[in-house]
Parts: sequence; structure tokens; C-alpha cells
Amino acid sequence: MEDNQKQYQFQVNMKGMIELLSEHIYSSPTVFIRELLQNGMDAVTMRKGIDPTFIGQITVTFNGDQLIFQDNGIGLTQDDVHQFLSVIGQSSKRGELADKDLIGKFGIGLLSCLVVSETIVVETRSLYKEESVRWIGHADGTYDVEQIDLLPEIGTKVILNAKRAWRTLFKKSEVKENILFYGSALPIAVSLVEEDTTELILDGNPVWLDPESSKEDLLHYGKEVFKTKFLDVFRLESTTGELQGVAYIIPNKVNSSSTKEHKIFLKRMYLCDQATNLLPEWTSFVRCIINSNALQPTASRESLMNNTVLQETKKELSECFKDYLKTLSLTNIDVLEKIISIHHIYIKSLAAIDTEIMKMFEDYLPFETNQGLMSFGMIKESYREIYYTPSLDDYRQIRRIAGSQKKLVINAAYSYETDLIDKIKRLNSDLIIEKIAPNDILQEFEAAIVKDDTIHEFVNKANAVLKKHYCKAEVKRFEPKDTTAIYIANEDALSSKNIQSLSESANPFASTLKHFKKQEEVMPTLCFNQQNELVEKIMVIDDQELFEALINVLYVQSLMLGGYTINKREMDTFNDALYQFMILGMSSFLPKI
Amino acid sequence: MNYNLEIQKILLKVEQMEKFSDKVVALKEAIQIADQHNDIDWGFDLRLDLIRNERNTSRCEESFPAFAWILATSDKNEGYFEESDFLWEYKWMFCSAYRNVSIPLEQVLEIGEDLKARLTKNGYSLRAYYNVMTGLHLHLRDYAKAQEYVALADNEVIDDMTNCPACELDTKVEILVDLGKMEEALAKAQDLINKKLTCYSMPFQTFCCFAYNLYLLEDDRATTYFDKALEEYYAHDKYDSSVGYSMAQLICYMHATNHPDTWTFFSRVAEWQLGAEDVHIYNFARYMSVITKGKGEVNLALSPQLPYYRADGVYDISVLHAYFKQLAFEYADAFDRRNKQDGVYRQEVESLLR
Repeated sequence: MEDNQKQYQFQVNMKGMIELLSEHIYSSPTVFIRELLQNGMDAVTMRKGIDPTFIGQITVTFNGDQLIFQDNGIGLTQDDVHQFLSVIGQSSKRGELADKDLIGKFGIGLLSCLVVSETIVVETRSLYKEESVRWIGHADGTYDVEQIDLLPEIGTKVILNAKRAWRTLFKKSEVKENILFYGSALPIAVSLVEEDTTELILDGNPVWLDPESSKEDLLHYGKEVFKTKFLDVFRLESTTGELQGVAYIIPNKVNSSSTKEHKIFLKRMYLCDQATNLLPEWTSFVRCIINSNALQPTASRESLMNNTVLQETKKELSECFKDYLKTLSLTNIDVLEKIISIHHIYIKSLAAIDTEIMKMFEDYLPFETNQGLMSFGMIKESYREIYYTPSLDDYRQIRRIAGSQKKLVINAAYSYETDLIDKIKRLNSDLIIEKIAPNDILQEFEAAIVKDDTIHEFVNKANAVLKKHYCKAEVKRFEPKDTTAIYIANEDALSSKNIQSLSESANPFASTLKHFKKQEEVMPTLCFNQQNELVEKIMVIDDQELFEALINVLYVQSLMLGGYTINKREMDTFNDALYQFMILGMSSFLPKI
Repeated sequence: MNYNLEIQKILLKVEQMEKFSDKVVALKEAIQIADQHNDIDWGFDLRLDLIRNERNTSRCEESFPAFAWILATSDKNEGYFEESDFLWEYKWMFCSAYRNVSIPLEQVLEIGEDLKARLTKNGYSLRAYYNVMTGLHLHLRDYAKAQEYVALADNEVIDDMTNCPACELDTKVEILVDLGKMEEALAKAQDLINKKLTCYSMPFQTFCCFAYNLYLLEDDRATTYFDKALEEYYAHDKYDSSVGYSMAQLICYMHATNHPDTWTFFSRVAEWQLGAEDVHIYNFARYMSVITKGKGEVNLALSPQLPYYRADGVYDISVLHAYFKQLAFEYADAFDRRNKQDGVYRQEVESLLR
């Protein structure tokens, strides 16, 4: 380096750094509790690494606005204090243990204490050296270190004095709540000491991680944590994610867009309440409490990193759910039926992609039909032929007509439904499951009785009138007799009619629509009822004007009956026809000149 | 029930639905009720909703008649609706028009002129028009013309109709990549790479583009961009079928590098092909024809709606290859005919398969 060149060190503004932490990195000032619990736990884990029989503990002492967090972990030497407490960005977690067993990783945790306290006082005695050290860190970035009298026990004490604004966070009730929130899964006893009373708030053995816990114990715990009386509970396990936990079935219908809170722990320390990347789609109707030792946290330690371990873990969680349902189908069919009746949307989504689930539960899956909501088991028991339609437009029309035809039609317009029906069809070759369109029902109406050319001529004349409405005529016999005509159009036909009408608009965009138009065969049909008296009479009318007016009225009337959209041209035609009838009707009553 | 309540009930249902395709089905039902009662206000709002939802899928089936209705109704009731309320959607529809192989190029250009006139009439700059014309010329693989439109857009002021800055920059980057100027593209893309500019699909699409194209150049940096793309993908968790093109490139990269999740990704996106816009079908088919080159069998959980679905879940890779290859050439020829170009798309498929 040349003489006139000097090297300078970046200056770090500690106050700014703390603001950065409190406002941007950590979501709440209470995270200092998590960081202290974490440090204490890690220190104990290090000591247990040396002596596996060692029993660790954390004690929190309240002294007015002062809080003392004490652990009986490995402690720090004076060198450690300089190296690990005073260099930001360096963790005291070393070696293999750091990668595997310790919770902390980023070495900036202690700084979160400066959000709530002006100073951090650490008094520590190391397992390795007969000395005790006091380290005082200040919010301005300076720190003092001194040797003190040998502390009676190995371990570390962190002493914090509440900033005026954060005094409430130092109250026993508040600290207790936050310790239970962050540390309820920690494998360590935690006691609170105030004046002369000691309260053990954690025993290091949470009920949901205890393989001996009964279902009742788990349900009771779930009620306590989520304030909900759950329908059932099952265990979750993943080898890849070194994950254990429980999933509680929500007892009511859930809104897929609302947020469902879970409790996600990492190395037994609370991490977050959401894990959208980890929890499969079916978890929309469960609430989970899980702990993983293999998943990785993001830098803020408030969510999980999405990596291949997480993806594999996700798959294994789905297997747990499948196993649970399988067991339930053998052991408690009532609960299974209840779950399916409440949460069938999610079970259907799973069944649509998983043939095994499909096979197991097809009889229980409910479908919307023209006869109301029915389970597939009930459908196949009651109907020899089962129809479905993947179009909501078609379903609406068929629902109207199929009832009188005693047909069972399933609405398969929404996701999964068509896939599910298709799968059921493939898995049950003995069942008759057919896709149906409104025109198919038309074909099943009884054919008209043809004696001469009357019907043929009527259809031709009617077609000439109906052409302007993008519709064709047909004559059949159907019930009830007093229905003169039914307008039938499958989805393609309706869309063609819509396109036909829109493509007459002047804007250049409309001209593209004709490329979407379907062929002539899918034109909507106005099916006249040969059994109807009025239709019988229209067939023999000679007067062209009257015939036209009658067909137009019947056309618009059947649109109204079917709940179809009536465009302006159709409404005008209807009004013109009515006007003609009125004139005709009145002509008999006018005074004779 | 009062039809207003009926519509509101459907809208509540729409809010709770997870899949955009389901939302479209439900909105169609609401539109039918509005039309039945000749309620053009509901008809207008619901159709815009439908277009916005279908935009998030690889399809554009219902949006065409819906948008034609909006234009026709707005023109018929001049002054009743604000044109600025649907000009943004008009840009989408212009793009969907050129993505549809059955719409002649002349008509696409006429729509462009109509859009341009309406933008000007409503006091907007022509930047939005140049944005979509850039897209059209990228589609035509006329990169020089695309760059001309980029320059024209840059000379116009930014307003509410302009593409978002992330998308504008990604387009510039894509042109450079297509022109083989990789270093320039990487330098240009810094604001996307460093996430200074982001939007729904950026920088995911930029990362996919770099991963795939750097891989083709045998450049080690491909891995970095693949990792970044995957990170974005997982961070969003639920990218919809509108990012189909990028997903296809990502899968291609995964296949080339023997990534264990290649077929999992394929299974996830295969059904996006159903009813998709022609250009999406073309892109998916050409990239998938690459990953299916070879022999063997693969177990896949696919939708029974797919034409190549097998109930046993076991797929012969060479059968899949034949299917995608045929589909890719079919659409390539159709686009070449429509675009009046001499085998531009066909050569693109041939070169990919080489």
C-alpha cells in the first residue's frame, strides 16, 4: 500500500442497528425472550454434550423493572466474552454441534435485548475455567468487561433493565406468557422466581411430543392452546424433516382464504404460526403443532426455508394424513363420516390426485346433484345410471328438465369434480356413468307422431322465424302437457348465440369473436310439445303474420321460463308480437262502421 | 331471492375459492343473472372481474366474449362507463388476440389501432401501446422491430396504463437474450436480479430465462439462476398457470441437469395445457417434447382430462414425446401460416429438438 493511502474501517451506528433490528428484522419486541431462551438452551445443550446425564434449567427472576435470565449451561470465559458477545455477526455456537443441535445460528440474537433494555449485563462462569466475568453491553455500541468474584454456579446470567417504554414486557405475567409462547416445546425446565415464590412453568416434556400421551390428553392440550374443541387429533411424523407433531381437525367448515394459525417449532423453539410451504393443501382444515430438527429457518428466524428437505417433509406429512384416514375407516367410521361431511372439499382435492385415497373414500364423497347433496355411495345405490356435466350452464338447464325425467345429474363444474368422476368411472367399470348435455335430454323425449307433412312444414316455417334468434325448431312429446315449448341450449350453443349477437358490434375487437363460434349443429333448440293443445293449433295456422307472432312469443316465453338472458332484439320482437295480438283481439270489439 | 343478493352471494363464494378457474365458472353464473335482469352495471363489473381472474390462468376462453360485451356496451352507452376502467384489460386482450392462432394478423393490428385510439382519447401516452406492440413483435420473433418499439415506449411518459417497470425491464432483457447478447442482458437485468424491481411474476420469469439460456450456452452461471428461480417459486408457493412459459423452461433445465424433481414439476403444470391459449400450448409442447426425448417409463399423477392420461399412472416416455412433438409442429405450422412467416416457428421446434 502506498504511503498516501490509508485504510479505514466502516463505522457501525449501534443505535441505528438496533432500530433496524426492532423495526425490520424482528416482528415484535418480545423476541428478546426467545433469544434469551435460545441462548440458555444452547448453553445447556453444550454442557450436555460433555455430560449427557446433566440436567439443565433456566430460571427467570423478577426484581422490579429488572429481569434476570439464568441458565446452568456451559458458561463463557473472558476470551469467549470478547469473541462471541462483542462481535456482531459471530455466534458462539461452534463445531459440529452448531450445525446439528443448537438453535441459534446468526449470533445477533443478544442485540434484540437492546430493543427493550438500555444495557445488557452478562455475568458468567465457564465450565472450563475457574473465573467469573461481567460483560456490560451498551446501546451506543461500547462494552465493558471485568473479572468478578467467582459465581457460585457454572452458567450465565443475563440482567436487563427495562426501558421506560417496555416496562410492561418485564412484568411476570407478560414474561410468562411469552416464555410459554416461544418455549413451550423446549426440553428444559423453566422456573419463574418473584420475591420468595418459585413457579415451574415448563417441565421440558410437552404433552404433544410425548409418545405416551393419550388422545384425550392431546385434545385437552389442543383446546387449551387454540381455544377450540377439535373433532379429532392425529400424530404427524417425518423422517426427512426429523419432525414430530400433532394435527387437530377443525370442527367446523373453514374458509379457504382465511388464515389458519399453527404452531411451528424448530429445534423445540417456537418459529412461526404459518408454514404455507410446508403444510400440504389438506391442512386447511387442521391446526398443527409441529417441531422439526432438520428444517432450516430463514435469517429472521420467523419462517422456514423452502428447500428439498422441506418438500420431502411435506410429502411425508401427506402420508401421515392418509394413514390417519385409513385407520379411521377401520376404527371410527362415525368420526370419518363427520370429517368428510364438514371438510369434503379438501378430501376431494386429495382424492383427485391420489388414487389410493379415491378408492378408500369414493363412497363417502358428497356431490351436488339435481336431487340435492348426496354421497357417491348413496348415488350408486339409488341410481343405475349416473349422469354428470362439467358445465355450470348445462347443469342449470338439465337440473330443470332432468327431474321430470327421473335422472340423477351431478354438477361437476368446479375443480376436482370432473377429475373425480372420471376416476370413479375408470375404477368402477360396472357403473354406468355418462356425461350429459341438455341436448341429450332432448333426444330422450318421445318422438312426435308423424301422420303427414304437417310437422315437417311447421318446423320449416318455425325455423324461418327463429333463424334471427339463432335458434332452430323441433317437435317432440313430453310432460307436462301444458308446457308449450322448452328452450334448450348446451354451453357451446349458448356461447355461439352470445358470440353471434356480440360480433355484430362495430368495434374491431368484436370481429375476432367469429373465430370462436362453434359449428351450426350446436345451435340452441326450441322444442315444441306435440301434446300441447296450443301447439297443435299453431301447426295448422295459415296466416303467416299470426304464425310469426305466435312463434316469437313462445320463443321469448320459453327463454323466460328457463331463466335465460333476453337480449334487446328478443324483447322488441316480443313486444311487437304482443302489439299485434292486441290489435287482433280488439278488432272483434271495435264498433262496426 | 332478489337478484342483487344472489349476485353478492356468488361473489362471496368467489372470494372463498382458491382456484382461478373456479372463480371464472362462478362469475359466469353471476353474469348470467345480471344479464337476465338487463343490469349493465353488474354486467360490466362482473365481466371485468372475470377477465382479471381468467388472466391468472393459461386460458382466455371466457374473456373474449366478456370483453367484446364491455366494449359494445360502453360504446352503445357513451359516457356511462369510464373507458379508462377497462383499457388495462384491453391491453391484455390485445395480447391474447395475437396468442390465438385463429385470429388473423390483420385483425390483431386493427385491435391495436383501436386500443391506440382509445388510449389517446382518454389522455394516456402511447407507451402502453408500444409495450403491447413490443410483445407482438417478440411473438413474431422480429427482434429489431421489438427493439424499435422499446425505444418508442421509452420516449413516452409513464402513466397508469404503462406496463410495470419490472415487466418493461424483463422484456428488454428477454430481447437481448434472444439476440444472443447474454452479458448485456445480465447487466441490464441487475435491478430484477437484485429485486429492486419486482411484480407478481418477476423476477421469477427473468431467473427462469437466464437459467435455461445460460445452460444452453454451457455457462456455469445457469445453476445460480436456477437456484434463484426455485427460491422464488417456493417463496410464492402458488404460481398460477400464467407463468407456464417460464415453468416449461425451468422443467427443461431440470431435465437437462437430471434434477430429481423434474417429473414432479411436470405433473404440477401438465394440466395447465387444458384449454390454454394457443401460444401456451405451443410453448409447453415444444419444451416438453425435449424432456420426453428418450426411452423408459415414468410414474405420474395426472389429470384424467389430459389426452394422454393413463389410469395406471405409468407413462411411456416415447409416447409422450410423440404426442408433444406432433402438437408442437401442429401449432408451429399454424402460427407460421397465421403470421405469414416462412417456417419461423417450425424451425424453432426443429432447432430445440436437435
